[in-house]
Amino acid sequence: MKIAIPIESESKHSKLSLRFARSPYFALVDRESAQVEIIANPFSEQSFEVGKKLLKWLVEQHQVNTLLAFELGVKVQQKANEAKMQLIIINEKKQSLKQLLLYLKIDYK
Amino acid sequence: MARPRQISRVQIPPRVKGFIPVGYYKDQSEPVQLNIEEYEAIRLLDYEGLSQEGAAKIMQISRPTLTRIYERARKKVATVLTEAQQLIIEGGNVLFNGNWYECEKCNSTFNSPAESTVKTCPLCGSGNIQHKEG
Ligand SMILES: [Zn+2]
Repeated sequence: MKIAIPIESESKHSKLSLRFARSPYFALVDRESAQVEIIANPFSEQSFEVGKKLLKWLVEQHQVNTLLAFELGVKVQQKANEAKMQLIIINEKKQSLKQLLLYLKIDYK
Repeated sequence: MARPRQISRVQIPPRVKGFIPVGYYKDQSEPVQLNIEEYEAIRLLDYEGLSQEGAAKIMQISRPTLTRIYERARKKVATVLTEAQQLIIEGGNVLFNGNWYECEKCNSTFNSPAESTVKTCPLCGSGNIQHKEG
């Protein structure tokens, strides 16, 4: 299972991004191997069908099956539900990647 | 014969069970109950800014039904604001998209994607999770 976490910058200390589809970066967390990869979102500046393109890219290119967010736009919610992805909605807006990795018990240097 | 009430599809359960007014007000009566489909109508129309056609499609109900739900929802929210009532979000005639749970430890809400049951929280691993009823 690979989780996509939207984040504001390219570091472990990054804050969670509150705009999922237009988040500048994503942390991809592979639970089995405990690997974390930070990637730039190629669609963050686009304006058309961003959610649809982003999900296709996360699923097909990065084998993501779980999305973690504070809030997901309705388009992303729908597409994710159609694709039978797992959604984790957290209840804290001011969350850091570091804290989320602690919850996931993943040690990322 | 009355028409059977249409079931509304809800994408993600509401974050909290309700709201409490700030400040002292002596004559608070019974809380106002906002049904989950009424919550979803306000979320889709006013928060997400969808058209009534778009929202009705997502909730899988007819446009006139959505209009009625939305009008009830707005009336209730207006009552809560004006009369300083508590608001409880529960009940209604809804079907969540998949099974949803809430983790008592990290307070996240999550679904089980393959309609299967889930035993632990996918974020913190806690087994202390509650199934969310519509
Ligand atoms: Zn948890």
